[in-house]
Amino acid sequence: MKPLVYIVDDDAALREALSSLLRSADMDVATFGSVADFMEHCRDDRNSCLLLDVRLGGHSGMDLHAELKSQGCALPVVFMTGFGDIPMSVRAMKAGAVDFLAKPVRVEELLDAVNQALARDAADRTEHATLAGLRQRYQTLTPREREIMALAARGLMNKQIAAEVGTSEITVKIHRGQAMKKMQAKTFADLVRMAEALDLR
Amino acid sequence: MPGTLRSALLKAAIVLLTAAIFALDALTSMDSAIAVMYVVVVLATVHVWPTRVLAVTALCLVLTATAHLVTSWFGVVNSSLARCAVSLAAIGISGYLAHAGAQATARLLQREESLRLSRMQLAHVTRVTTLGELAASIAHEVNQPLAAISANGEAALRWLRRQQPDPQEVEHALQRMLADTCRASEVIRRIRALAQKGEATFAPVDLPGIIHDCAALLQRELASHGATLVVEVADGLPPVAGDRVQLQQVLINLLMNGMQAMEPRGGTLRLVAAALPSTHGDGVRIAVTDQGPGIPDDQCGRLFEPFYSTKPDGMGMGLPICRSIVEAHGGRIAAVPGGPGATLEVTLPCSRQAAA
Repeated sequence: MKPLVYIVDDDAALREALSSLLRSADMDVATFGSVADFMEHCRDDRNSCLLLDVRLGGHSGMDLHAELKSQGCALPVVFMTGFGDIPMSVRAMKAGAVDFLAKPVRVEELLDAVNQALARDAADRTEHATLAGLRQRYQTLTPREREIMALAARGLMNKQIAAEVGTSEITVKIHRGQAMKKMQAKTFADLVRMAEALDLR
Repeated sequence: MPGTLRSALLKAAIVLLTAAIFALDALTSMDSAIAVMYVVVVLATVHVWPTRVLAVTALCLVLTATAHLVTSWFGVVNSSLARCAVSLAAIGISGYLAHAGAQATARLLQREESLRLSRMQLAHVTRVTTLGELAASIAHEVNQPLAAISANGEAALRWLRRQQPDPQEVEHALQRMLADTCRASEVIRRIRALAQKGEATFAPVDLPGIIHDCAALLQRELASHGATLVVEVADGLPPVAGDRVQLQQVLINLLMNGMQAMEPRGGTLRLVAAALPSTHGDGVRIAVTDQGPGIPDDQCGRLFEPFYSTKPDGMGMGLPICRSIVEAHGGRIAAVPGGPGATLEVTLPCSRQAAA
């Protein structure tokens, strides 16, 4: 499946031109004239990124970026601007933009930035999928197994865990083995990393 | 042309009158100082040949003396001589006064002309200053189509160079490039029209077109100051005659003032153009309303005084120039007291009325 690039720019002519350019580079494109239009649109669950004009009539692209982040949307953003000033680009980069391009944008730069953003999105997606898998497996654990997994990940010995939860060392061992099996952890180190990823502390 | 016809008739009348006076004076022996009537000739001359008053006066003096010589057959008749002397004095004095008056009028006209020229230059300078203030947003306005043109060009090349070139995509890209070129030259046209310097020409103007051009020129600037422009132009506006550039200057000035009044919060600027209610005579009313702090009632009048400004870095020339432009068009400009925000309204007479 082709990657998807969302373009938000209030200038229809430029939107069309950029769309054609990105389509010629084998990408799917969805264009929006305003931030509101983009926010309304439901986003496809696929490799995608956002190409965003910094100054959109009345609503700055920066605000949109902040709003997206507050909504937990991790879509990588490439900014474009007609007034490429340094403070603005610094702000954009600090806010986590992939790149900041001055209009008229050079094609190679644009494609580079978009590809980079797509790559970042792909990486985010993989990470996200891994975490989702972990969560799913974690759901299958019994409350006792979860408790023991968390304590073990904190570095407690089986004996200490047994004292903590008030059971025998052998029961702890069984629960711990169950947890490792259900979490598909090959080694104990794997289990610790998973606990860390799941934020069990 | 009724003006030129009237002056031609007057010239003919002057010549006839002169001939008649001379004939009466020289050929009849009336016992009166008919030559005094040359005063009428001299005074009438002021209207048609203001620069030749002295020459005509001299001619009248010569004619009077000649008639006197003819009637008295070169003999000396005391009473006739006295009448002649009185006539000569009257003609001479009125000739001198008329000449002095004509000269003063000429000087006054010249001064008025130079005042008009300086006013025109001042209007031009403020126009160019305004364009300077708009430079950043105008640059953006030109940059935008250029950016689109270059992106379209690149896209067209890429579609052509693909393993299977896509002629339809190339065609679309080229069409968009042409449209963008038009757009860029349209921006340039608007700026050039405003920057031009020249005599004001009074011709029927397309008011909705002027308003549209102003809105297009300011759109970016307004947006970057957080101001939204709402334009309401009523259908079927009566025709207005005037100078396109000057009227645009007035509107731009009012809109920029409104925008600046709403800083830094921004807001909505409304420009409403409609025909005047018939009780107020034929004409058009254009009102610009902002959502700023408004104008205190006691300052409504002062706004149009030169060098009076409510802005810290204002020159105080914008509104006085607007007023001189609007008044030259036979219209009026005023701040409307009261109301949230400020409203400035311009009324322009319709061109049917102006021609009458």
